Amino acid sequence: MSTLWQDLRYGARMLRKRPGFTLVAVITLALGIGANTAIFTVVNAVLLRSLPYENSEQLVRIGSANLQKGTRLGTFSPQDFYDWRERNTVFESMAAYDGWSPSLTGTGEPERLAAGRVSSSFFDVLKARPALGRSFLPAEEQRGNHLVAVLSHGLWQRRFGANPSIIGQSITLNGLSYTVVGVMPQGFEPPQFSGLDFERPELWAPFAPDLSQWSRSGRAVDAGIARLKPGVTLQQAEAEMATIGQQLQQQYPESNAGFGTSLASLQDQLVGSIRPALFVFLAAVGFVLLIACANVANLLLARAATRQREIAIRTALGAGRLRVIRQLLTESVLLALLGGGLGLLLALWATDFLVALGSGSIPHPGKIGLDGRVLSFTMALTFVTGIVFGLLPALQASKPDLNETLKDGGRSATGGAGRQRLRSLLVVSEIALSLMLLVGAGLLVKSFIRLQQVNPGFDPANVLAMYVFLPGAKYPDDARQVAFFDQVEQRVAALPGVESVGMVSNLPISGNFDQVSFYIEGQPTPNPGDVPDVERYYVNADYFRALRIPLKTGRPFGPEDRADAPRSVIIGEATARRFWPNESPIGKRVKLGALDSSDPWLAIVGVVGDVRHYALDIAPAPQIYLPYTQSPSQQMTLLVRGSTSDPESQAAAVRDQVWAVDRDQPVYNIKSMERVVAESMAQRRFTVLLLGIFSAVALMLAVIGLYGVMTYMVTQRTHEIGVRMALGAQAGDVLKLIVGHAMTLVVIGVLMGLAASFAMTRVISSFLYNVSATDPWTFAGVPLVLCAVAALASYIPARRATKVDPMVALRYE
Amino acid sequence: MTQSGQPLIRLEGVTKVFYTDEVETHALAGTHLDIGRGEYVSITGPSGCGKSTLLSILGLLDSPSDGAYWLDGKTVSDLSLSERARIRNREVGFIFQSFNLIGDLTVYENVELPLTYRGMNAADRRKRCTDALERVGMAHRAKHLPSQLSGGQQQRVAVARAVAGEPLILLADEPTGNLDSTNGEAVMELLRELHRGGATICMVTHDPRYARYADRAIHLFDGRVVKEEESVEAA
Repeated sequence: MSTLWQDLRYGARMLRKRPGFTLVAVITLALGIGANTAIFTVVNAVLLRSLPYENSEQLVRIGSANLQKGTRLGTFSPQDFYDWRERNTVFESMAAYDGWSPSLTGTGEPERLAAGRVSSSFFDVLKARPALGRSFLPAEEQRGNHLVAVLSHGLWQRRFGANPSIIGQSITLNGLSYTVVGVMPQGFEPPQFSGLDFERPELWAPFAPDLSQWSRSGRAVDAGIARLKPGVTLQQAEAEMATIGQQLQQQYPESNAGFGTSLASLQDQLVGSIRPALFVFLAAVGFVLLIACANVANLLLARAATRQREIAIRTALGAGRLRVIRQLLTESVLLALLGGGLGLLLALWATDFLVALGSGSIPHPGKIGLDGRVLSFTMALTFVTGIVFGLLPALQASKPDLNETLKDGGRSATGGAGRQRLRSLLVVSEIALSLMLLVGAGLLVKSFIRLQQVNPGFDPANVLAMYVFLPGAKYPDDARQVAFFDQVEQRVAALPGVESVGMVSNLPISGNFDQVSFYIEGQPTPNPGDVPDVERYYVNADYFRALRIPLKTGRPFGPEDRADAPRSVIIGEATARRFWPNESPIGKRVKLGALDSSDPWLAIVGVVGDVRHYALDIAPAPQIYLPYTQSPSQQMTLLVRGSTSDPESQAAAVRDQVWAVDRDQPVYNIKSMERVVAESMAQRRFTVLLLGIFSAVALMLAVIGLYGVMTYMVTQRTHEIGVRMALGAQAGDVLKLIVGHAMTLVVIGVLMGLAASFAMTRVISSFLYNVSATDPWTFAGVPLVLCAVAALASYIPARRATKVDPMVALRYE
Repeated sequence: MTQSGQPLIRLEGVTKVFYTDEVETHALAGTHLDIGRGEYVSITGPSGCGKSTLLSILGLLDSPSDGAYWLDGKTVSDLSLSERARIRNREVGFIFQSFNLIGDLTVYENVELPLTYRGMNAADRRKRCTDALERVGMAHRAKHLPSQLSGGQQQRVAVARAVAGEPLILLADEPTGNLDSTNGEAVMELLRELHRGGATICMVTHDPRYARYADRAIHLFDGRVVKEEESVEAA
């Protein structure tokens, strides 16, 4: 122990004595360790830490499965849900969850809330108890008893001034009076189902569907969650639920044929979309750390040359090789500890940066932070880093040529051939690793550029979007809903600078869509699982003009599409191509929803261009548009095309016109369409930006490494250069000698990196859009850039070598 | 001679060949040598005759290409690296021409270093170091760094480091080579005192003045012992 203390003391003294070396090494290591700690902090919070619920590993998400199409965790009917709940023996409890956006009125400004309709057991499944009051009772799942609500802590504070007497009081949601029965505690985070909730719910009401209005084939309930009984595995639960699904198929073939059940661990389901990106980030920062290690190892090798004599003396005095290695490793671990300490500080800042950069892409951002596991990771990483970068130099330094070195006495020692080879090998590895990162980043950047060039099917410039959701209690019938939106349209259209006012039930690129079964008149009825789906949108006549969606054939909606006129629809090109590949669809009739329903057949009057509704990188699905005058919708998004390039500046004026029609009507999600499009690419932008940063750091470290090796080599070869110059070598010959040596290393590294990049294309291919994982331009361009930067880095020491004075150099030792 | 009648050091037919590119250099060519316990031997000869190579082999810093080497009755020519390090640490004390003190350690720490490698406890180390530094008159400089000392003082510290471990033999390679004549004389006096105290010393020197301090002078030429003579002055 005392000898370890001696080693530590000596190591600290050595680092203090060479502040330049120590500073460069510590900053290099801090970059590597800090980047790893920051990414691990996110990985820890998102992937490793349990969900914030008791025994969260027992929680699963349940949904339907379309066995023909292979889709999982789909929406389901309330009837199916009740059967699942009743027949299973594997779950302790099960709850349905349906997204809801009620308008809160009566206290302050009207506000649209993010909310959920949930089974009475929802909070029991999560083992969450209200801080005030109670959760829902089973009887409150019955219509008539269902007008009760549980508030989140945030909503209770924000809208009700944290009133401790809130329990039992009434609040107005969608014009109906609900009694508050509970307030959830601070910190309760309900699960956010990916693709369903864009905001975290702040209020819950019982899931109490009017079953007389629902058919079993109307699969519209968003999600189910359940808690496994102790000792039951996910596989056992999947097996039993599959059996129940088969029973329902046999029992209700007209609605359930081709549909089963699907389960997933809630943790996997909630973090699934970000998981691959996090693994890529982990690999990228791992590369950065390896490059940092190679750089510091190179510095240590250079320093080992100057310490050769000290090591030889220690060996002569009886230090065994292991003892010398231990001394050197103690020093490198000490260096790593300093780097790790600074890296941890860097990580604190970088984590905040990451969370800000990835807002919207990272689940549970509030839970991301340092904890014991992150600190243990950083500590372990620091020790391993110290060993990794210290071991090779220590092994090299621990076998000095005693005879020669001790005889040399005061003469400065030079690096042996083995040490030179090792330094070259490290630089080659750095170049190879950074090339791999640069190729990955290059492919992602190109992919991102391609994505930005994708035609979304509409023109987002100069368009303001604003959500309006009419409460059913206040606007219970079609006429009142149409009247409201008609008035709003007229008032907004009259505003100065407004060119057109469109309205649509689900905004393009928002990720929201309404999928519905689709039947063509005169064609045989397909099996339930084979019924094609189309995306259904309710729009006003000016929607296509407002978003500049081109009309391909037929006519747009107009005044003739009155509520009492024959029903008309417009379809997208993909719908026309798929269902009428060789004929005009104009005049054909289709039915949406259930074939046996009393809904009328709809005649196709026009075909418009396809719109990317889900995301820019997902090809448009078959789409169908219904005039809202014939099929009103409570939820519409106003799309106001104006003459200004800053449409958000019109927000207040447009909102005032909505409030002029109904002062209690909330409007929300007000943003320009350009912003909507930009936000749809947030996760890709996050991935590109982060990988770009890591690649830039890697390139910088690799180039610094190359520069260091070449500078050291010039110092070592000063005598030789002097002799060459004395014998008549020109500056160009010396430049060629040094740059040539550097470029040999670079080319070897580039070739190795290219081979490894080709081998790893499978990893990156799932992140690419419209770019091949072996894109020749990227694979050719990145090495060229790297070679150019490396040539510049080696030119500086080479230029210095040309300034060598032969007279001085020949005396140089 | 040892109590059993064997010499402390015995070399029989030791050769050392260096290979550089395609050239063979025979630094030692069948050297025979005995050094008795308590003896003070000097090795002399012209430059390149193999003096330093012989001393390196004696100190287990290098191994012979052929031949046998016994130290204190035990053969040491074919030991592993770690066994050689252990013997260097316990049985041999080195004094180099260029002192070979570690510049980043204090005088005290330099003297302490071989004892640390021996695994000796701190109290024993302190006693041995203090004694050794007092013997060479450098105790008052214990906290200084080597760079703060003159050449003569540095060599006295090197002597203290060599004797602190109470080795079987002290090997000195041109101990006065980097010193002026006054400091050189002082170091030689120090070695003579150690010898009088019972130390076995083997010293390489090319300076006939200092060779005379030894009991016996061994002359090397082209890697062979060509002459051995008792020193008149020592006698």
